[in-house]
Amino acid sequence: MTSERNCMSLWRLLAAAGREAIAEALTEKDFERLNIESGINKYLVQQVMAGRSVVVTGNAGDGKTHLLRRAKSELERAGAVVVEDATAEMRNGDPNHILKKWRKTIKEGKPFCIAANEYPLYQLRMEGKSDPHIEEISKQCEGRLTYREDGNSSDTSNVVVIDLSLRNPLGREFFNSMLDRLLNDEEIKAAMENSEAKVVKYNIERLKHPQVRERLTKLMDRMVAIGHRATVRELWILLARMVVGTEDPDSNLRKNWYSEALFDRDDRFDLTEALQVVDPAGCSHPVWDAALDVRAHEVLNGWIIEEPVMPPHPKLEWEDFASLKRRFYFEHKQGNESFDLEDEDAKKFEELLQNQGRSSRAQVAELVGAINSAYCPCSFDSRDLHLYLWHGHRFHEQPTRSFVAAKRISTDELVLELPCLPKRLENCFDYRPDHITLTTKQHKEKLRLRIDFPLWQTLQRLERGLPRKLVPERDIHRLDAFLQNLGQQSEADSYDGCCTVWSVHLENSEIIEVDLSTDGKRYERIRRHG
Amino acid sequence: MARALNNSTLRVHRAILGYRPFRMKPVHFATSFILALEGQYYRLEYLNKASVPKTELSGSRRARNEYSSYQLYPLLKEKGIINPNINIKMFNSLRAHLNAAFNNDGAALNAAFPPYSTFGTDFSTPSIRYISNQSKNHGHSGSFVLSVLEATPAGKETLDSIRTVLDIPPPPLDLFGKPLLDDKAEKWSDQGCEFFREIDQERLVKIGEDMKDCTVALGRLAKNLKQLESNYSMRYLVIGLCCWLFTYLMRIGKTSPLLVVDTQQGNNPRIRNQSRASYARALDQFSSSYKRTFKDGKVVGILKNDWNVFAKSSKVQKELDDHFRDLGVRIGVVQPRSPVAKHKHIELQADTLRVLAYSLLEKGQVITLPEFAKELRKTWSVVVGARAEDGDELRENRFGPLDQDEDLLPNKMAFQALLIRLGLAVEPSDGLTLVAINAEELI
Repeated sequence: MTSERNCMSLWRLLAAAGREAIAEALTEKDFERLNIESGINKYLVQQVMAGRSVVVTGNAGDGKTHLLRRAKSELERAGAVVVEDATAEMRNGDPNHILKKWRKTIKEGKPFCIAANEYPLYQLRMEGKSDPHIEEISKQCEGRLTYREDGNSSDTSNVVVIDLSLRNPLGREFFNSMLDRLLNDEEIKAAMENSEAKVVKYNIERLKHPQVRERLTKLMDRMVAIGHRATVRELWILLARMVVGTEDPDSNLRKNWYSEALFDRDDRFDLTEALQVVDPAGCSHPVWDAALDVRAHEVLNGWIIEEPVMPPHPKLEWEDFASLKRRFYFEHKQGNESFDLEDEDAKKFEELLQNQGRSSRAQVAELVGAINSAYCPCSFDSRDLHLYLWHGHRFHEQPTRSFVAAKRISTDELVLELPCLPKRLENCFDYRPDHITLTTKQHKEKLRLRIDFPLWQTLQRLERGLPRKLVPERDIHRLDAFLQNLGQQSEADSYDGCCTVWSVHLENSEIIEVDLSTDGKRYERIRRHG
Repeated sequence: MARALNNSTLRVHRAILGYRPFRMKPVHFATSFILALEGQYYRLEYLNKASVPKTELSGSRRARNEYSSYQLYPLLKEKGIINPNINIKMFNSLRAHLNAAFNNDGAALNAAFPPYSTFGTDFSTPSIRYISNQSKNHGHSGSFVLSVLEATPAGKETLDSIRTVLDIPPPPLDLFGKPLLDDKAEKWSDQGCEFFREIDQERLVKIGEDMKDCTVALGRLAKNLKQLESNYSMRYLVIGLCCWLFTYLMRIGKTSPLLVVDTQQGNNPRIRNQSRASYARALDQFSSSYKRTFKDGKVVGILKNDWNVFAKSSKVQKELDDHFRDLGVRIGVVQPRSPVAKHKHIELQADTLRVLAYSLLEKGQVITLPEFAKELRKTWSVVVGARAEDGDELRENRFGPLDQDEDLLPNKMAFQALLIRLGLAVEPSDGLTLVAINAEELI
């Protein structure tokens, strides 16, 4: 098939592909060309050699089936029974056939390897929950990540779950491997010799440049830090578009430039939507934007390959400006200043994930203050010293007029934790955290508030005075649930035989602290804060 | 004449609806239901006086006005409810906070004791200790719902689960008003029986059977709330009970009602129009149900004279419309809430959707979005466009034309996004959306 296709056919096929309609069109040889050697293949075989069964799960397009298909012969030589695709193996959505096969394999003392999407795996877990190996799988699925405080002990179970959705192909190492594979592909090299493949030559020449490559990788880092991920399939399609363009390959349209194809929106792919967030054209920098707009002296020089042809109009149209700004980011020596004036939230969050931020205690205090401000907009002395467990009650659909707390948790009892892979997956693949957790130290069951970038951004905005009614529902729900769980495990605050209630009047912007007698039958003291 | 209208109206409402359809908020219903369920109440005189700050009345009434801080402050000090060290300024602050905490449902809380004549009082009840018998706007709807639930085995089971929710440890709000609560409960007698007499058992069983699916869902909601032990359990339970009542109202109008949910917040005018049409039709069917029921002779016991008085009154028709609309708005099913908005549509608010999800899913159960949408349609009569057959069903019910790709699919996607935002769904792979009570933890 491949030989019949035109030059660059694989990459053109990928560039034109939709979300699902690609696997059927690719040959084994094509898959081989797209394969990125990573530790997973080796890890997989090692596990099976050690007699363990393996469940590979993750999102569609993460490469589960591809992984098992490539390793199949080796795995079978090691005695394993391999099911490449659980969905295909299920009969009318019934997982019992697989479970039967699995039990038989285990009885024979052989490892069992299966690739399953999340839902089929869930169905298998539910249907076979009485089986010890399925029970272990459920345990591993519930603890896909571990936290530093957990101790991260090694385990000796005879089954291992590899969740490929935890591997983010946008991560530096994997992304660079893909880019290398693309740039070194024989078909691409051949196209570079072909004088007619102008678009490919133009794009490859730039993508090979160390500066362009570094800035591209930095964009991907930013995507990872703010919680975006891509599947391997999506990323291949994007990279292919960056080489062959998105328009007629014979034309030299601007649309075909790598810097345009990268930010070209396609409703079929979440990744293209996510890339809009890191588009240099969308991040304003008054100095450079003005310089680009009037084609000032400083933007006429400093280009690493060639100075772009500037449109002759006195003022740039938006599309011309956006295109120029993107090229400026990648190809101008000072393009890295494009994001200098962006919102600090993303930078701070990235620092936090890399553990380079302020001391954890100060960070916890800041987060505690921000959470309190979701319920209590007025500032008061101990707002960042204690996390108050607020509760507002009403029956109808309108917001409450007040919040009341009878319990609070000291900031010292809370800690920030970064997730990491469990010990059993240590050598499998690299994991880059996309969230932190605010965790209780003392409670019997550790309670965690998962803070990803959207919640982090909300908390930062709350600190800056965002009104509660503008907080996204998802974040309010997450905060409410955390406070709720904390409340169930915490004792009421009391001292000198009194219990204390804090009340926030949202209309008067006033907070009072009310001490009640031990039996709760008398108001002993009232103090006003804020 | 007015008295005749009143008595005739009551008799007609009793025969057709089972209670009096006032402009009712969930807080009114909650009081009525919990009173009927518990059979007791608390006077809550000091809570009412402390949480309803009033300026002094002029003249001779002044001496009796304990709603004024000048009277109430020394009284509560003398009763040992406030420490003498608390000054009057702080006491006034406390009163403002008590008002915000317990009068949380918009003018639900009024002065209920002399020198004021009560217009009815309901507290945003954080626990059963906050139930008084001063409520007037419920029309005995809570007693009616209780009677229906008591009439069938499924209803009795649901009531058992509801009782366990009332036993959940009270939230912090309960502690805040505690010094003002009464120690002793008073026995409550259901005045609804005086107005309406007891509804005969056969009819209650019939209603109970017709509402069985919603009753079972309500029981499931209560079980989930008990397990979750949320501070918001009472709120969710009351919204759930009100959804049961709202569905009952719709089923009086039509055996299989249908509400088109606009999840796109008006971005799709065709969906918005059909959503408005579905609300208008449900309202019309409820309003006209009295007439149809009387004409069909389905309900026995309506005297022709009563009906004639009832049918001639434009006031009662408005009463029915207001009842349906207000309940729908306040439970977060109908939007917009502004009374001047002429056209209302169906848009589930976050907590209402959560309540409906808790009523349809067992703890630990995971279902796909189309399965969830099927249950929503079957039990709570709402259509979001997530089932393959939604387009056909809407067309058969003369809602449309709606295009699968242009209208229903975006509506489904917006609904799905809302479920995900609320932590009720995840989208793990292959575009499959899985719905569960605690979806983020389960899958």
